[in-house]
Amino acid sequence: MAGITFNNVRKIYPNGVVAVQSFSMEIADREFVVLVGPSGCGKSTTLRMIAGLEDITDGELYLGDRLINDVAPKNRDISMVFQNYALYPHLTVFDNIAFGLKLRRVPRKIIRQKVEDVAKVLDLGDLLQRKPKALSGGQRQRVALGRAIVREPAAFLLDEPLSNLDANLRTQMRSEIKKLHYQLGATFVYVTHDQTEAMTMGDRLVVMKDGFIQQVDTPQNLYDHPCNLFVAGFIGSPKMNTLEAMLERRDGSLIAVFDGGELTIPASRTYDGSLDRYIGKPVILGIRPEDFHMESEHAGIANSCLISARVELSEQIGSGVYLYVKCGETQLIATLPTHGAARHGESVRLTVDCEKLYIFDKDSEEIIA
Amino acid sequence: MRQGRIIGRTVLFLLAAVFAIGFLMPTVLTVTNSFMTQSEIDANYGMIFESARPGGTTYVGDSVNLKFIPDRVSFSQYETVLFRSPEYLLKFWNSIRLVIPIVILQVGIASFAAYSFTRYQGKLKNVLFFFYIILMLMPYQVTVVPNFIVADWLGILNTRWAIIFPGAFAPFSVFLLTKFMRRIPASLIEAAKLDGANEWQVFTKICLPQCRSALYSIAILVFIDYWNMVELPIILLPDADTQPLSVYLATINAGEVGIAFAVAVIYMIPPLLLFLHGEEALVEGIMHSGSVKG
Repeated sequence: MAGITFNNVRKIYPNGVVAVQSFSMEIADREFVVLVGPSGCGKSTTLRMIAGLEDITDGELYLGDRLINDVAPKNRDISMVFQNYALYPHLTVFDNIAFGLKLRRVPRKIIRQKVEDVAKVLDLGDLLQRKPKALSGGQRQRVALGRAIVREPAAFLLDEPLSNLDANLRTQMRSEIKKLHYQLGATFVYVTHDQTEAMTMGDRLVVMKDGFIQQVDTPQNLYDHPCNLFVAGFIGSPKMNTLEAMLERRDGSLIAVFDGGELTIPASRTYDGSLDRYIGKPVILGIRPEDFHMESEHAGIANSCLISARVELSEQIGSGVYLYVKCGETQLIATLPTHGAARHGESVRLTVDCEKLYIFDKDSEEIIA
Repeated sequence: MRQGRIIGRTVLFLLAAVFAIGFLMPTVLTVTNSFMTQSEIDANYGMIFESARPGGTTYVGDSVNLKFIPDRVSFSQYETVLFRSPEYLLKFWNSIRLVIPIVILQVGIASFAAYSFTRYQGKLKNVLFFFYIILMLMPYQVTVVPNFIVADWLGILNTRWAIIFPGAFAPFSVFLLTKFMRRIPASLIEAAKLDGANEWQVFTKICLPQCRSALYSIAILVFIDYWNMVELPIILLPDADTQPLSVYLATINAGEVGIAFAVAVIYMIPPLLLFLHGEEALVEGIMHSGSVKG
């Protein structure tokens, strides 16, 4: 087992497309790190550089203490699970799992033992003589995992391994992969564009955009303290509401005025004066949908502000309701408890927990409070 | 509406049946006539070859009679071919000695070439592949003269290598196999590389097994193509002793019509067995190579 260190890694394709820029971070031994971001953000390229399937244009990549920039994939001691499973269709499940061991000339007896052990862990015992086409999606996924773990590599790379599975199976496999991580105690690097998957699985998440790392942190910290508008919007479901507002000083208080209402910024957010230079200037406000409450339920919230809105749509999700409202010309979404939720066309008064308000610089989109 | 559909289907069925009979008739005629005696063949088809016949002592019918069922089943033609005239078997052996090496070499070389075209990037690759397609589109009569000159220059004229050598490097197989190999997902090759496979192992353990049906279909097509060749051996193998049986079948003379039927049936057996054995692979191979929309 080993950690992975990136030192200013860059990837530029021959056609000039810059896929990854200035990528520097350390993945600790036995850590489960998730690379997350929208399509084309460079997360898969980063994973493929670790695997050795893409050349590194610039920078240094270490596996443990070993510089692996120019090491061939087969010599990196790394396993990878592909999005389409990449099982060898002409081989049985047994031979698929044993393929890497056979190439390394491991004695036949040991191969059988190892494959059977892995099959037991992944519940593949009865399927060893089947060909991949005779397996379901979940079973194929487990075979792909089996092929990865049987070699006991230094690190596991998983490239959107659950994206071809249905929702139920995805949830099940998510927990199975997580259990496997605990069981193996190995370094896992996982790529996904699904933020729910990332939040539930990773010890730390790396949020990427346009080839750049936006933020590296634990799931909770990313949710609570996003460094910029992109991370704030990417992490959390439904997406954070963002609205343009003007900061004004009134009677000693800082007020954010937006089209359809205004919110008072609590003193606790302004005491350091960081917002003073934005007074009279436009900023971006961020409000998580779950920080809205019906007026009747706001009693326990210390620094809340009230806004009036008209309901445009409500979506039942069982545990609650997504309320799409319009406040002036501003579209907002609120996650509320089912009971008492308003219906289409009704006017509602919502309170906002202003302690949890996010304020971003309009130009740089960096968080300012 | 329904009645119209039934009539339409019946017409289509009848048309298909007529075409099927049209295609099958020569084969059925050859097989059944191979069991006729020489005198019965003379009686039925003698008129066609009368002018070529020296002496003309045999009874010759007044007209050509296409006859499917022999009056008496006789194995005399087969007896002559198999036991009394070793030259036919020798020519059969010549065919095998020519075609089998071509099939093996062509499939082998095409596999290497197709793998290179699939796996390696570079500007030259596209240019080279374009030349392959141009070569493939050329009628083979165009390349016969250069082949003759090269064979003469190499000193292999009138040896079987004059046919085997150019046969081993056919562009069609490379084209077909390249199209097939491009269908193999890149992730499969990448997975093999991560599993520890080197380039040779990727080729032999991953790519070739994936292309089994394509390889089989190429083998069948090449076998049938070269099994039936006539012009090439006549040009490049002037010595009659080294020529394959296909040349004999094409230059049949009147005195051996009956034997020709038997020889034709025997000659049909290897490609037929090959086809029956690999029919599924042939269909799959051609479909997946992009020649037919799958």
